[in-house]
Amino acid sequence: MKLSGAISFCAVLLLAAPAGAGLGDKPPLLNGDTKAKHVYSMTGVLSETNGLSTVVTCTSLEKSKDLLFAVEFFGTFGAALNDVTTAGVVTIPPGETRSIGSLDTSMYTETYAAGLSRIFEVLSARVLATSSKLLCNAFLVEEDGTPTVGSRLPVYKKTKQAGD
Amino acid sequence: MARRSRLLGCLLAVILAPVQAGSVGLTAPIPLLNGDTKGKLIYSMSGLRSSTSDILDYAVVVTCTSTLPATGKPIVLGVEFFQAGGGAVNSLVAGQGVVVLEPGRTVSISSVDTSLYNEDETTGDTLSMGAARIIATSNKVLCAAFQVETDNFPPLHMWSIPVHKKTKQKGE
Repeated sequence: MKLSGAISFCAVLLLAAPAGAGLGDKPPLLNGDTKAKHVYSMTGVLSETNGLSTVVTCTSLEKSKDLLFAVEFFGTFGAALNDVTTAGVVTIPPGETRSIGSLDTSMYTETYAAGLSRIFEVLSARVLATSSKLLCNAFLVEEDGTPTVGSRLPVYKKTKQAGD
Repeated sequence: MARRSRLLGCLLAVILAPVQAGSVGLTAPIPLLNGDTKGKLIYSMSGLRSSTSDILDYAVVVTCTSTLPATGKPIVLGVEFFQAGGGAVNSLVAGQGVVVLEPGRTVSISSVDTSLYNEDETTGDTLSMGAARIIATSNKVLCAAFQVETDNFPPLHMWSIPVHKKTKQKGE
C-alpha cells in the first residue's frame, strides 16, 4: 500500500513537471553520456515529405580532435522530435564537414537524416556539439527530386539573434 | 533676396511639417498589442512584397520561436506591415497579426495565405513594396522571414529576408 502510494505520488510529480520547452531547455547528453553545448539555433525549420526539408551542414575548426554534433528538432509547441541521447549524433574529424537533415534529400548525401515528416508544421532546431569550434549553415531544400527551390535558413549563435 | 529665402523657408516648412508632426512606418509609435499590451520593437525588415492577383503571387512569412525555458512566461508578439508610403496595413491594436508564444513555441505569421505553411495568423495584406516590424513583450524570441511564392507546393520560389535588430542594420 505504501509502495503503491509512493509510486502514485511520483507519477503525479512526473506528470506535473513542465513539458519540454525547446530552445530554452538544457541540452541533453549526446548518446546518453556526452555533455554538449548549445552552439546554434534556428527558427522557420520545415520538414515535409514531398515538400521542403532542412539540412544543417557543419565544418569542424578543431585542429587535432574529433567533435560530436547533433541537431535537435522541436515541434511547433516545443517538444523534441528526435532523441539525441540515442541516435543522430555525428562525429566530425578535424577540418571535415558533415550534414544532418530532417529528411533524406536528393540533393545532399546527408551523414544522418532524422526522418521527420511534419506536414504544415513550422519547427525550430538547435545544433548541439562537444565543441563550439564549428561553422554551420542551414538550408531549406526540396526533399524529392532535383531541387528547384530552396532558401538559406538563418543560424543564430546560441539563442541570440544579432540581426542582419 | 531676403524675401525670396523667406519664401523658400516657408515652402520647406510646409513640406516637412507632416513628416515632423507624425512619424510613419518603422519609426511610428509602438501600438498596444491587442489594444492593451505594451510591446517593444524587436526586429525590422524592408523590401517586402505581398500580392494575390499577379501571375505569380508572393507572401511575406515571419516565423518566430520563444527561447524561454519551460518555466518562462508566454510572449505576446505581433507583426506590423507597412506600405511603401509608411502607412500601417494591419492593426496590432485590433489583434491583426498578433499571436501568443508559450515557451518553446514556434509560430508563423504571414501577409497572405501560402500553400507551404499552415500559418498561425494571416493578416490578409497586400504590399506593392513595403516594410514590417516585429513587436513583442519580450526579446527572448528568434525570428526569420521569407518571401514565398504562394500558389504552389513546394513553392516555385522562396528566399530569406534579412531581419534587422530593432532598426539597426549591421551592413554586409
